[in-house]
Amino acid sequence: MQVVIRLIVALIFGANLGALTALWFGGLISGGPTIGKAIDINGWRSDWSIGSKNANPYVRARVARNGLLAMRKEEAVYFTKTEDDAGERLREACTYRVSGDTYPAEWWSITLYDAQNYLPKNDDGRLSYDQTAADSFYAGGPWNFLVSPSAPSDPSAPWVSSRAGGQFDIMLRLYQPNGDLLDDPTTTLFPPRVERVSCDGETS
Amino acid sequence: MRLIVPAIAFVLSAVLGHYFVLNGIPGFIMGKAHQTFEAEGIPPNTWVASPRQTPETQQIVRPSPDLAYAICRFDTTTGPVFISAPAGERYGSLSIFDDQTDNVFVADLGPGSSFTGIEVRRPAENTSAGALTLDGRGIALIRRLAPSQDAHDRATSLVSDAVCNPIG
Repeated sequence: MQVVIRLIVALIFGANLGALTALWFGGLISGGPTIGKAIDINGWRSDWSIGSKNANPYVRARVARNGLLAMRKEEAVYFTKTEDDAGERLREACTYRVSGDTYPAEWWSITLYDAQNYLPKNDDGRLSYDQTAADSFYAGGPWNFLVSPSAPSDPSAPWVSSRAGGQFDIMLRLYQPNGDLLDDPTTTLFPPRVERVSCDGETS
Repeated sequence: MRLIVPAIAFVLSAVLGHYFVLNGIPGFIMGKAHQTFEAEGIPPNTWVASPRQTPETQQIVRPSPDLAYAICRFDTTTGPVFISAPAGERYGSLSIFDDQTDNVFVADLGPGSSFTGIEVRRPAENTSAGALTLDGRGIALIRRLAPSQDAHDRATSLVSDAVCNPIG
């Protein structure tokens, strides 16, 4: 009888451990590791197997949880940044300057998401910044915008609102990336810089 | 010795639990997405334009507020489906996703696109050259560049010319 009880207990604990580790590695429990051929360029992270049949089950689970209906790399690539260039977690209490130039793709956009992978629940109407806005404001040259929880003092300054974003991330989407980027992303892409300007009123 | 059998059972059940849960996540989440779209009143085999993506209107994770979306749910178990969409004035794409969240097809809908449509059939029925094989439920998604309300309105107006119909 004791043997049977031990066996049942072992099966229950084993199955639960297996399920929990699957949820953790698959990204359904926050903080799990990333498994796959991840690309990391100055803290901007991506994976070229997103959306494809070649994705391993860990990547596929993470995409299902964090980026459902993502396209494969020939159509769009996605880079996510969770920390500023100094390695500090992006958070609502701080103001950041995001700056960049042109990218090897048809069109780009940068969007802010909260920790639950949704647009932050604010009514500022400043959810993203994109190539169209940059071309219009900066005439196709280098660009920058602020990420902050309130509008900048200069009403004409480009900005994205982090209000109600908590600990957030920003996602760079590159649509119809060119072949060089897909072949050799680390030497082809010079991703946006994310500089912390101030936190809670203190200039860094 | 008396602990060997339970130890083996523990390891085996952990491996199997890990495998089945991990591989069940995409299908489970895609099933929830189908339920969400159905609850939102999106019928099968019909293109439905989404409102401009805002914190109030977002339905799935990480929507892009710069794009105009339209969605069609379909199921090849009830027969093959023909899917098409017209080209637009700027960047656009039509993508098809299977029940495991894989992006199994993409067509360019930008200016000058030559895309005329795609048949989607079950594997056993896929006798048509150029047809896409997909077994069961799928989601077709149109994305069009629409960084302004005007651009979004123009992109939405193209949805009436898109097709997502059963064949035959």
